[in-house]
Amino acid sequence: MITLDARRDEEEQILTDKRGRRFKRVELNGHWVEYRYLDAGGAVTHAIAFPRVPLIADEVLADRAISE
Amino acid sequence: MPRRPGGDPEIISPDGGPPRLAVPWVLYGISVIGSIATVVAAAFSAASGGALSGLWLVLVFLAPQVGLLLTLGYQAFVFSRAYQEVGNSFRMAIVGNQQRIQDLETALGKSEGYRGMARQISDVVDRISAELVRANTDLDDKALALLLRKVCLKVATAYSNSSGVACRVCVKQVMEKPDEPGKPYVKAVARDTGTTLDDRQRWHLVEDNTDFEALLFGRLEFWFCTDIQDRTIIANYFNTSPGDHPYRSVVVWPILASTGRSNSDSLTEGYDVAAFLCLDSGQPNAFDKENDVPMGTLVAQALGRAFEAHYASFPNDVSTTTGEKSM
Repeated sequence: MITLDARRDEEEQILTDKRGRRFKRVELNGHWVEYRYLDAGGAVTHAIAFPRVPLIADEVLADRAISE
Repeated sequence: MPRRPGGDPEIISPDGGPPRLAVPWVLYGISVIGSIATVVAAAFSAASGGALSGLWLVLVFLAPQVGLLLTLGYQAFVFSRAYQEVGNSFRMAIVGNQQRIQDLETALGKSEGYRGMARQISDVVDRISAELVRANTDLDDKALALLLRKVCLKVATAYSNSSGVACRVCVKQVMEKPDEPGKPYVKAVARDTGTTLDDRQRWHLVEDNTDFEALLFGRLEFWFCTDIQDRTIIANYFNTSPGDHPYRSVVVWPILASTGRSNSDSLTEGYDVAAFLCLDSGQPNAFDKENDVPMGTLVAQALGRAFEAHYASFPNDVSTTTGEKSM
């Protein structure tokens, strides 16, 4: 899906964030996603990974024992 | 304070104020009495018929007395200068010592506070460990949510007690919005005050929050700010929290967790940022980098293990299209 601040190059699957950084998005194992940042030549300079899915479901967060 | 015999100068003023010189009046008195006695003796001698011998007596005996008085006056002047200098030195030493005592008392109070905080943080880490042991390997949603809430409460209490000002603590998870892949957001999953509907609905783009972006992209060990309303800081500080920055002192730690992807082709190794542990206070300079930051690091590290236990409870066939885990 194309977002407001990131555009996807359909051929190369490359995104650009708000700061103009270009990266490839790679889903690792269902829980985590990795962004691989590219230099002008298309080489990966560094990568970050973080969870792709919620840790805790909203229904659980709404539990009174947790929310009060 | 009584004066000592002989008119010795007293260094310390009895009223506690600056020391003053005590003039040796006894010596002056003796000199004056001696001079008067000489004059009387000379006058008596002259009156008794020996005018020349009387004048001679006056010259012989009065001159040394005048000399003695002048000498004593000069000594008094010299001594008064010396005593004033000594007094000033003592006064400065006393003031300096009082300041050092105050500094020591402050340091002692802080040390007591940090010791208390260390005990409370140790309890928090023990509690997390105990919860992980109890859960064996997997920590489900509710167990993790309850654990995070208790941790936030205890950490907020520990820092509030230590700093003497009200502190707030929350845990914000990093993740993509299910319908916006390609953009990392954070969302509160636990607060010391409890999660709210607002938390469940409010997402914060990492790129719009200076602290989170610095930690996620800069891979810092922590983000520390004594006062975000400081003019030099706020100019470069961006935050999407509601309200006009209702806090001033901020510390944020990354909660690193293993992604458990040993067989994947990931380029990142080891641990990645799963969430943030956030501490703030409405007071500036509420936290001390040297003492407060390591305590939070311990909590963040322990929470990383809890997150890993939680990920272990996830099935491997997580949906890759909706961003929601299938249970």
